[in-house]
Amino acid sequence: MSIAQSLESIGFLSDFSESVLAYPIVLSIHLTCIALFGGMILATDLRLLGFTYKSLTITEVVTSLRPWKRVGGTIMISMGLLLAACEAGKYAPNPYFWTKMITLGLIGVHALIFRPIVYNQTEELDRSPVIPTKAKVAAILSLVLWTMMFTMGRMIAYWEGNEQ
Amino acid sequence: MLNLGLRHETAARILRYTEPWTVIALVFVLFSGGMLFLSQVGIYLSNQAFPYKMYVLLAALIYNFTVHRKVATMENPPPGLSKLVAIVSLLLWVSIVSGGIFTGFLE
Repeated sequence: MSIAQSLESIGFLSDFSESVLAYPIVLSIHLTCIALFGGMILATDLRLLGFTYKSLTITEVVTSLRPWKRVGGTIMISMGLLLAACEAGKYAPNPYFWTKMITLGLIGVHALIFRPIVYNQTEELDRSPVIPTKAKVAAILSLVLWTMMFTMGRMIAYWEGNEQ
Repeated sequence: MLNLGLRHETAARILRYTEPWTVIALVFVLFSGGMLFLSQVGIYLSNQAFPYKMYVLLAALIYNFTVHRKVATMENPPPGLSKLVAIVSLLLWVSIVSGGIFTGFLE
């Protein structure tokens, strides 16, 4: 039995994927948290690019949206894990799923690089007369990576496998 | 409006900043949603969840550009009113997300 199949056959996960209501409810929570989390990311990135909230400092935008980003992100990832685990067999051969996971890894790399020099240095960014290039690069890469993440998530549902 | 983020700016100012972005996004959402609907009109019309999603969407749009905007742009709104209006708005938009998901799961 493959890892994916054994994961799927865990009691509560198989009950969960067979339930008419539980699966769509968890998926709704997953998407709502994507909206919350994605909205916070978008607002932060647009501020770093200088496109909006210009009367607020970068520090204010980043720090005041951070708790909501964390709440949204935590629930989003937990629900996503639950959704993926209960249909592991279907996800394992899906190339969009793996592209999404690789993108998630790249998002981790983005955080490792830019958190110490941008997101945790907002006061320095605020003191600068123009928004530094490193902040704009961080924002653009973040927007590209998250757009890729959401697109791949959507595409998972449309992959039908090899039709031999 | 719930006073849970961006507290150093008024709701009116935040609305002014975000409105162009929301309007652009709304145009894309309605256009792409309309295309998806037109590609399978029969399936959507006979779906149990889809009509609810559309009623709530209509309610949310009207609410957003009337009550929500009015209260968000008030100079000194009663705090209770702002919170109530924000919670109703969140509930409406979350219902639309669920309505969309259930459209895919019900027949």
